[in-house]
Amino acid sequence: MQQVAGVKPFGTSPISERTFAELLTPLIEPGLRLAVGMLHDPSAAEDAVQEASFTAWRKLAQIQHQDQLRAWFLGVVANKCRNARRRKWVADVRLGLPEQLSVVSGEERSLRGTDLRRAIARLRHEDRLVVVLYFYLDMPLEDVAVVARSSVGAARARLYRSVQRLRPELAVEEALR
Amino acid sequence: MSLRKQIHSAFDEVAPPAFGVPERVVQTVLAEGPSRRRREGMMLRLRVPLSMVAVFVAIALVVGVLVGGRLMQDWNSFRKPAPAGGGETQLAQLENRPLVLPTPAAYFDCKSGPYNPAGSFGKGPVYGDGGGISSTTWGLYYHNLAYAETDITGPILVRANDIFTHEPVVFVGQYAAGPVAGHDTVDGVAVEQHTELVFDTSQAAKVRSTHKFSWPFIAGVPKTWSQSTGWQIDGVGFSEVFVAC
Repeated sequence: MQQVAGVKPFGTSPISERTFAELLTPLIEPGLRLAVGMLHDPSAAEDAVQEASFTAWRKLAQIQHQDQLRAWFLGVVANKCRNARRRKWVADVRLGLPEQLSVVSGEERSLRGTDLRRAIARLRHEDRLVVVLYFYLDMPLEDVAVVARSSVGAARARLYRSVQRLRPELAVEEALR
Repeated sequence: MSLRKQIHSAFDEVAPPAFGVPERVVQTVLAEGPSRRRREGMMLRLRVPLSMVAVFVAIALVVGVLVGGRLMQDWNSFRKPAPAGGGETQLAQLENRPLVLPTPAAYFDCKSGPYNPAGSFGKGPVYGDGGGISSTTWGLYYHNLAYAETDITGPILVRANDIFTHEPVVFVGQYAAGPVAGHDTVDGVAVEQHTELVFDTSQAAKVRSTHKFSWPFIAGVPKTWSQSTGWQIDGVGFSEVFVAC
């Protein structure tokens, strides 16, 4: 009954190490980019991707269609990021912004980047996910919806709402370019 | 600079160079994967009894709340019987209010909102949040939440339409009211589809809610929907409209 981005089993036999490496290696970099966008902490991002890769090792043989693999893996990374942030929140009630990201005086570009990262960090997990996937991983909205496990309409609504929060002065269509 | 470029630039400032990372991650999995799998298998066996305890506790809590709520309701109605027909009259008055929803010409003219500062739909006093989805052969059902932070007297009527197809959004489960529009089976449960939601602050769910009053509800749209819905919430002394595109 539950729909959207369902991953169906296509075989129960375990895959070989070589196949696993061939399938997973190209997914690590986008996974890392997603995790950086979600967590803003390079080492936490790599941890999240590593954990997602362990999950992939256990479950990769259950993926029916290879064309679903990227979306499925990014969904796993997103979940690991959510858990990582929860743990961090419980541990020290921070937003996951490392100290070294503080503003470099006099560099307006860095200041803007820090402000923008901080604003994105304040978005809810689901909103941040669509923003990172759409703007940073340059994924089309249809693929964003699959990773976010929502309808395209819901993903679009989330994106619009997030853009309005990030840049209230921008028209949404202008911001989505 | 476009927002996309700004975001690329902001994240690239903190993104580590990915050189060598994919190979390192994969090699770590291949080296540690089998032993982790064994460890997790042992953990799973330990976790199952704990999770069953948690399930029993959760069930006991839900049953306790339901039974307690019912007893309180019975006690209140025993002590203070409602005036006959009063609530119905108020509801009929709300139902008589015309549905006035925006009519954008095209999808890109459809602007979602208004939102409250927390990012929920609506200007108040009742707000709406989206949630998970269930699907059936008929369409999609959204597990949404309506909530309020202030006392509201009398019934609250919620109606919604597809802005472009003009078909009504249907409601199932608790709080669904009004005419029956059809039948469906959602998550294994046979349900009647209604075209209205009716709730009041005395019926609000208190469990696990951070809001003063909250009403979790399920709204359904057919598969042919335009992905744009207009919502009107009427109560005694207020009427609000919001759009979700």
